[in-house]
Amino acid sequence: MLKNEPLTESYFYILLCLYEKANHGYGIMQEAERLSEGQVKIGSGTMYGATGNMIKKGWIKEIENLNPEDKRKRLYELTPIGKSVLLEEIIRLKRLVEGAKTVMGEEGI
Amino acid sequence: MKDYVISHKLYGAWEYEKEVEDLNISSSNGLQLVKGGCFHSKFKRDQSVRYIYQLDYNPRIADKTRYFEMFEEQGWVYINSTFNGWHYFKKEFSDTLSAEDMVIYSDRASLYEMQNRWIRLVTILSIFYPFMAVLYLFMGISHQEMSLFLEGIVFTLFSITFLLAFINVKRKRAGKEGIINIPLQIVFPFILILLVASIILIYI
Repeated sequence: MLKNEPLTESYFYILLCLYEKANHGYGIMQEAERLSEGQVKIGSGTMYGATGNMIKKGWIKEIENLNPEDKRKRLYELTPIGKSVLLEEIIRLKRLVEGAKTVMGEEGI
Repeated sequence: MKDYVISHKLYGAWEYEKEVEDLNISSSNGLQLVKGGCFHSKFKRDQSVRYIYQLDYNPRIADKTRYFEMFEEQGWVYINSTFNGWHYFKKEFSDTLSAEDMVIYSDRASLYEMQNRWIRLVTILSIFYPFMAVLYLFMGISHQEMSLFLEGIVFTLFSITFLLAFINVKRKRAGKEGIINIPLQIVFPFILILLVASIILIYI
């Protein structure tokens, strides 16, 4: 079987931003911007495509927003599959960084 | 002076970025898009605002409310959709908008995913048109039939335009400079004239 493809930054941040709690699209966008120190700002088209694809793959799912103060009805929630995809990706990224450390030393990177 | 202006500028799918650019320029000149279309677009005269535009191609939206919600959340105002799946969005221009705030696709993967939806069609047509061109030119010559020959030329013009578009898209993705591109706006009047001529020839 082929190994999982690396996630794009947008996919990674969407999964990461849903790790602790369910969130809506705009919330994910803001959180991703904060976590990436302004480097990743997920556009509307990108967000619609990514969330749609991930719902299809079963990584995330839509749930109803029960907070009456928030008008937005849709929240996205991480599924157990999505969680394991995220964790596997983190292991992959760690391995990359470890490899770099072996070659360049702690200070090199 | 009339309040509304109709524009008949034509754009191929591969020219969508040029269309966005033209809409942005029109807006800063006081012409605000009211309804975008494949064959004609409607503008309203209004000097008091300035918008920036984005075009999305998605002929099969699985969940329309979810789709529009995603755009509204980030300040995009939906204008309209064309029959073949293009969606027009606008946002009020301001100096505080960052480059990322002005685009709806923020990474290459998702931008390519959108473009791939129309590239498939362009690819199919750039094979279909040359086939039809050869067929009609051949029939026109062998039957000594001018109208068929003219239609052959129409297919030839389409072939050249679509093939160039196809080559340009591929070159751009490979990081190379584009080659010459014939704007659809220039090709289309010739095609119309040829078609009308071939129809007239059938009836005389």
